[in-house]
Amino acid sequence: MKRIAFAVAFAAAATGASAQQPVEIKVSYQPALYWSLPFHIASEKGWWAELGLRPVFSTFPAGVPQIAASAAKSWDVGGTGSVPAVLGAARYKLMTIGITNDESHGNALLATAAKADAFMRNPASMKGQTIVLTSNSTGDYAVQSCLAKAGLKKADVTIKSMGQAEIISAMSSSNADLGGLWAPNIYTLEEKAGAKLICSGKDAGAIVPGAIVVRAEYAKEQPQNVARFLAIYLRAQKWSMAHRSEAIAMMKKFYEQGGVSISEASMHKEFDTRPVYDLAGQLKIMHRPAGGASEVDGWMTKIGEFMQASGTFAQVPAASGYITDEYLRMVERDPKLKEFANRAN
Amino acid sequence: MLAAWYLTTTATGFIDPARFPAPDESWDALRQIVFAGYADARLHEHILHSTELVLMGFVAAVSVGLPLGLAMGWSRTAEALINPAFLLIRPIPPLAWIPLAIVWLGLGDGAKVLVIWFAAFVPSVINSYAGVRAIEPHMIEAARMLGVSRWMLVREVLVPGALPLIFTGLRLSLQACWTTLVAGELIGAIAGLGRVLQQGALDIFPAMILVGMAGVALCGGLMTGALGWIESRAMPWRRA
Repeated sequence: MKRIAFAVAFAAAATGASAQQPVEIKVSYQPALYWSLPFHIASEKGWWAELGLRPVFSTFPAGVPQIAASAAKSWDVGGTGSVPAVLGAARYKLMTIGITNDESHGNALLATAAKADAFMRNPASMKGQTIVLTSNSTGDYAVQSCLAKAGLKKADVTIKSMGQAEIISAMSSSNADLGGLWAPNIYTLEEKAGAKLICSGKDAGAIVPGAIVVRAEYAKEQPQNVARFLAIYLRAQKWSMAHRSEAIAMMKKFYEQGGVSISEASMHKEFDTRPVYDLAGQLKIMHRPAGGASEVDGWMTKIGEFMQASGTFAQVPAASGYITDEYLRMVERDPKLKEFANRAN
Repeated sequence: MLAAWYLTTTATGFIDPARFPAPDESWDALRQIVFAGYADARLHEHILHSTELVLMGFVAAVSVGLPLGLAMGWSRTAEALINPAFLLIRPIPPLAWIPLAIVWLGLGDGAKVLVIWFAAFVPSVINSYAGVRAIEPHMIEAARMLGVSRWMLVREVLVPGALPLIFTGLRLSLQACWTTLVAGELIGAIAGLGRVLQQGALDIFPAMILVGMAGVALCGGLMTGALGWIESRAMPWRRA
């Protein structure tokens, strides 16, 4: 009798436990970036489990390998830059379901200390110069926008493509005077080599958003998980805005884990210069008026046109084909998720 | 092969085009790079630039490696002096030289040629060294017995005797030049087949990557063929 009672109790406990088991969700991001900090915050605060999710993280050194890995279903959801997001849409039907931040200020053209003032006084003097940048990236997009602002075309300069680490090396050793970089590499070059920012994407009117992405197949199979993931990201972001000093401390630790060390002043700059959007803000910028395009549609389409001009693809992916506010609206419609996403604590 | 490619991709969809390009996608990519351009240049410009770099790196590597290998093979003193440094340099991968190449030589072709040089240098040294060591000692004794001068010994015995392995080393050096080209063109190349491959990878553009690979294969094959022709002229006795 005792044995039967024990077996029944054990079975009941096991059933109850399995009903509450968090669901695994594969999350990808690039480490030591401002927009990936919310993933770290959510983990530190235990918010994933609150909504029944258990994240399995995969990190990538850049957007391209991250997008390539999505084809093998190595991850389900994540954050990435807008250029990789558009590339993912074109190649693998990756969907953009939200915006991580406006990183227009965080993609810029820098010059070495010796030459910066001259270029800032007369931007047209960049004609004939060599600019080192990472081709077909948000940095490249910002640089080309800056050239256009200075009345120059791509053909007026010599572009040499290389990775961000090589750019820092080249500019630090005075082998290049102009370079296109993104944060936090901008701060690394400013702090370690005295380089100066002469024009950012924001200065040139080029909006460079970061994207929250999901594999189309996963979104179809697990829409609730996608909505929960969004709610967690938005809450973590809202918390970081409301608790900046604590967030900066977490950011320092998070960046160091990713091998990046920048000053606290630069970390504050990240917060000051990179607008983020809460649930209402996200819905506003992603809203499509009847027969029209949303703000996000416009931003991403411009980036797609830049990539098309570089020969990445023959046709710009239609924004309506991969950008959707469907999962944000799921969060909005669900009172529990909406409250969760809007919590600043 | 083409038929199998077509059947497994376009006809049946057995291989997902996202994983391996179909023939029509590859053809479109080829037309794009030939007529419109890709990675800031057209195909012929990429080929010209890469061939130039490979030839410069190859000639520079062989000009140093070949005499060094011959000297090390012939003279125990030279071997004792040079070998330790050579053994230290040999295992270092060419990619590891990129940051130093940028610091020493900037972002121009010099840095790229240096990276290619490191890859091509080692096979030319080893094979010319082995070529000299492989010469039958009685040939050298016979030549000495006939009273030939040192210069004539080198010209008439040493070099012809070592030629088969020297040419093997040259083939390996040439191969190393092409395989290192992509690494070399990481240093801010404006054009080149390595640049096409890099940009294709950044764009996740398998069809263009295939075009770049075909370009490298074709150019490498043609240069190896040219080397084979030179070899047949240099060693007419092997043709018989």
